[in-house]
Amino acid sequence: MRTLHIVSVDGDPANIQGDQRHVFYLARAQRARGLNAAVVTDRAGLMSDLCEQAGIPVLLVDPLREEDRHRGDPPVEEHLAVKLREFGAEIIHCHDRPAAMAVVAVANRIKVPCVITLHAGLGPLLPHLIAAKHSGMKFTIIAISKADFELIPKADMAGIGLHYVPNGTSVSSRMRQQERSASCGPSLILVGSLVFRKGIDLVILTMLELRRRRGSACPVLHIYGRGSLGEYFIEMTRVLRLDDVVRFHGIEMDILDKCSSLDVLIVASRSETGPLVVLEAMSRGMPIVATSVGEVDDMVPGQQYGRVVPTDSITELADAVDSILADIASGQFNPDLLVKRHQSQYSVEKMADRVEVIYQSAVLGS
Amino acid sequence: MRIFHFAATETTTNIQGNHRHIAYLAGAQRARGMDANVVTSKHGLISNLYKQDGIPTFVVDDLLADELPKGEDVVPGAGISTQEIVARLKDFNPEIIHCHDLHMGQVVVTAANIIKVPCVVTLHETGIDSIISEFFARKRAGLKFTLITVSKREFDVMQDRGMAGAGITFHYVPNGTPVGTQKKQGPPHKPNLIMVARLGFVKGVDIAILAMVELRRRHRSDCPVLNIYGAGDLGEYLIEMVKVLRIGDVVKFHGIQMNVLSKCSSSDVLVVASRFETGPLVIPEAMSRGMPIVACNVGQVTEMLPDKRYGRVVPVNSITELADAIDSMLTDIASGRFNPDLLVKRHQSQYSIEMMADRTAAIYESAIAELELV
Repeated sequence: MRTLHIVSVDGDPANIQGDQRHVFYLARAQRARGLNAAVVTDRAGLMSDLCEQAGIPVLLVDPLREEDRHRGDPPVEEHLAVKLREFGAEIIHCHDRPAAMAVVAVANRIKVPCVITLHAGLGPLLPHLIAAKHSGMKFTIIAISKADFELIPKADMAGIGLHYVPNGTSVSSRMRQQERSASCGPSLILVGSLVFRKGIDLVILTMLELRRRRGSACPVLHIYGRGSLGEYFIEMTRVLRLDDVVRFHGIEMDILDKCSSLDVLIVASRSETGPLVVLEAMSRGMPIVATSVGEVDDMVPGQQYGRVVPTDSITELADAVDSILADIASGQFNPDLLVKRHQSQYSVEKMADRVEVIYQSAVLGS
Repeated sequence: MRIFHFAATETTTNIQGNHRHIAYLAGAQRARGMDANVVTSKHGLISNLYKQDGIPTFVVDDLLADELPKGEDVVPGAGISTQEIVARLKDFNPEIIHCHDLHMGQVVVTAANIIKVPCVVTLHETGIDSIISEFFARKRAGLKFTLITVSKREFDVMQDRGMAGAGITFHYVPNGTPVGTQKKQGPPHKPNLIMVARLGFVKGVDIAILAMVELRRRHRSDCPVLNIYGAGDLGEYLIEMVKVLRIGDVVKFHGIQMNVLSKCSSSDVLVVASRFETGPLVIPEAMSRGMPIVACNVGQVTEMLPDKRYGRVVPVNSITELADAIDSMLTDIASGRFNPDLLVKRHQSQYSIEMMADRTAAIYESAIAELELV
């Protein structure tokens, strides 16, 4: 089946956002199953490089985001229609709002089934989808979080295929890393864009609390990523004199592969839908402390897998980190439970299976 | 002239900047004999204030319904159809429709065109770059409207992006505020720092709190106190942040207090640590009282405070530079180098409510004349 995944690049193309990572995982899994999956995007960067390295064809198109287009530019829809026909797409799969807004009408015009995955929640896309449905267009929606799936107004979407498919990730090739020496305790790992939404400030303040409690035995927080608030968070760390326990590393690919499986993944986000990094850590048996956002409560349903705390709570995050470190130190934490949970619920194969069924149903429906 | 100002109410317990702007503008228009009214989406603090100020206020709760749109002729984001909006507007019998947020603008502009009433949209939101394409699309769809920006910076972007060439009428009208009353001066006291802001990410309250960590390190027991007035979704987080930082003695939260600047000493320093703004009203409000100001370089701030005689302007997201600027401002006050009269004069000459009302009236007249020509 000739499948085109369409995703725009917002912000720094040297970074790879969650929806782009999802596209990469899914397209790679589909190609491994013999599907002819390709990616359409509007800027070359880290995602397109990774795709090409993995043998996934990448087609570059004009900017999908309206704000990136210049006055007088021809409508992107015409350009897309040509590209989609050239590729001979049998399924078009949109992964963000600009892609969906640009593509749904084109896909309907050229009579190719269109699937939309809601990576960023329902948010501002929903009124457009409802308007598109009212104007007679056909498409299929995939929610990656149960909460979003339940919020879709079913009455307004009568006749539209609605599905819930949790994110899935590959099993790490270097799963279950060699343990560090006994003298070196677990570190805390945060992988995320350095923006407000990811709650980096919250974790830095948590480190102040942890250092106060643990003194020289305080674990070190390693932050991987970059973003518009990078300099601010670095200055915050300096002003709070936490440089010895908070370290910024920029973007490092496959960073979880380089961590000990006893390092603790911290996700302090203020909002998420289905954070891939939780699954990536889970597949490696890494303990997880995360805020209760999006799909996190489903991913980490009990203390045997990690800790889930309310958003924006510094003390509760510090308490949860303390508690999981105590579990690790006392041997109560069992990484195999996480690995098994990943295999049974969140593997990329499971996700690709579920998506394939949806594709078949969309093709039949069209 | 029968004017209807439209703006959604996002929160019923706080007063958004655009509503403060409407209250000032509509008040000034009514003082000039115009029939200025307000239409909003919810009852709350702001609708009560309008009523107290004698500004007729209409709450139309389904204009921007939380429920999702239904029907074929639906306006995206609105709860009712274009025909229903047209009917509502006809009931009001307006001569000018003035929208003060984009969401309302989306809902109302089409209907205003149908009933052939001039429609003016003031852009209080930041980030013109991300919304400019919507105006081109609306112009291409044949809609007529006039835009007002309250920030020179955004006006320049609109010019650079060729809005005039596309036939879109737009103007720059800086925000204006009434002359503020001021607390009677008692014996000289150590200046406090004042922040009046919604407790959210945009207002940079976290930056000001971290600047207080730095200031207390420098000044110890002589550190000024930061009094924060406002509420918002990050309120509890920011209060916990102050507790974890152990600076509860120098950072105090007071919730929302009306007309708080009139209760401050004129030697207190207004701190505006915002990450984004267009034309922050709190600055002309402080300016009219001769209060020293330390603000981040956002929106209209550098035009408002063009040099150190009026205050300090620092880059956004810079904790140490904010602390340095507060230190420097306090030194000016202590040494008698700060002259509040300069700020008061600047407010009178540039940012008075009368100047804003004059400029707006001229735009209304031109919008009416343009429509009559058609």
